[in-house]
Amino acid sequence: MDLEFVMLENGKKYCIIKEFIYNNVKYLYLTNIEDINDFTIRKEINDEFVGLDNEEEFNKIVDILINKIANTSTE
Amino acid sequence: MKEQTYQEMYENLKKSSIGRHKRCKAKRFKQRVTLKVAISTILATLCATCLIGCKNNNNHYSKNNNYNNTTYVTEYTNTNFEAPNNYSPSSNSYSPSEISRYQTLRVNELMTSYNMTDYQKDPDNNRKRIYNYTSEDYKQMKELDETYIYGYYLLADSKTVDNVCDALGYSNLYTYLTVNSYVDSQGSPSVEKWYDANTIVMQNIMLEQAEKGKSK
Repeated sequence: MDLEFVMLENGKKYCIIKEFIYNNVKYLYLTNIEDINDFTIRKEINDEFVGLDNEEEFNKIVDILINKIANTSTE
Repeated sequence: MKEQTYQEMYENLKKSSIGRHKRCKAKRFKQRVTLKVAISTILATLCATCLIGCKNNNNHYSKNNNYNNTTYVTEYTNTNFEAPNNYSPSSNSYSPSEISRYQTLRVNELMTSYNMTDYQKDPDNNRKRIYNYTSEDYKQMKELDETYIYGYYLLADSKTVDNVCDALGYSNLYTYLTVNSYVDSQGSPSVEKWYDANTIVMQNIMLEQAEKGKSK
């Protein structure tokens, strides 16, 4: 089975679990395949993966993520 | 594997996600993994997401102590919607939680206005209501339009949603989604597409309602 990965600035390899676009920005929900307790979120801007701006953005993105996963499970 | 509490998991996710200094080239690559690794990763991620969701919801709802955080959909009866405290015209948007909450309140308000309050809690999902009405009953509701369907979807069981759709000229929810092209890449009805396509409509309804509230 093929999974899609990215390498982040900390040198760790993360698997892409969910991708979605919000306000014209692509967000990625990632998990470290070697430590499945290690999750993180990045946005893709100008060909770079960048951390979120602040807690407000984080809360909004987590809300969307939960909603998307909940909706996926009901389909 | 190191064990973490929900709190730790949530805090770690927050800590590892926030910070514009965290940046690197957006390079992706595909890699073949064993089925065991793939399944365990997906399961662990789904579990963690649910836990994070629970934690996040607790945080969110604890800010609004007007209602209980686990039964807010079925027990909350105050239908006077007010714009959230953090609303500012510049942000011009509500979070998915706020949209969901308002949609259920809106349906509750409509049902109450027609004295259609006969329901039981769904034994399979106590956050949902089973309303004892037919599609003919819903046809009597002048205000009922397609913007209410998502609220029924959140608040009520599937039979109720199908009855509402039937009253609006669709035999059931799947027909409504299909006819309106809310389908995924395989052409199957998709609630996610439906939500995404209607987010702006739902936000506008909320903004309009909030404006009405301010002008009173």
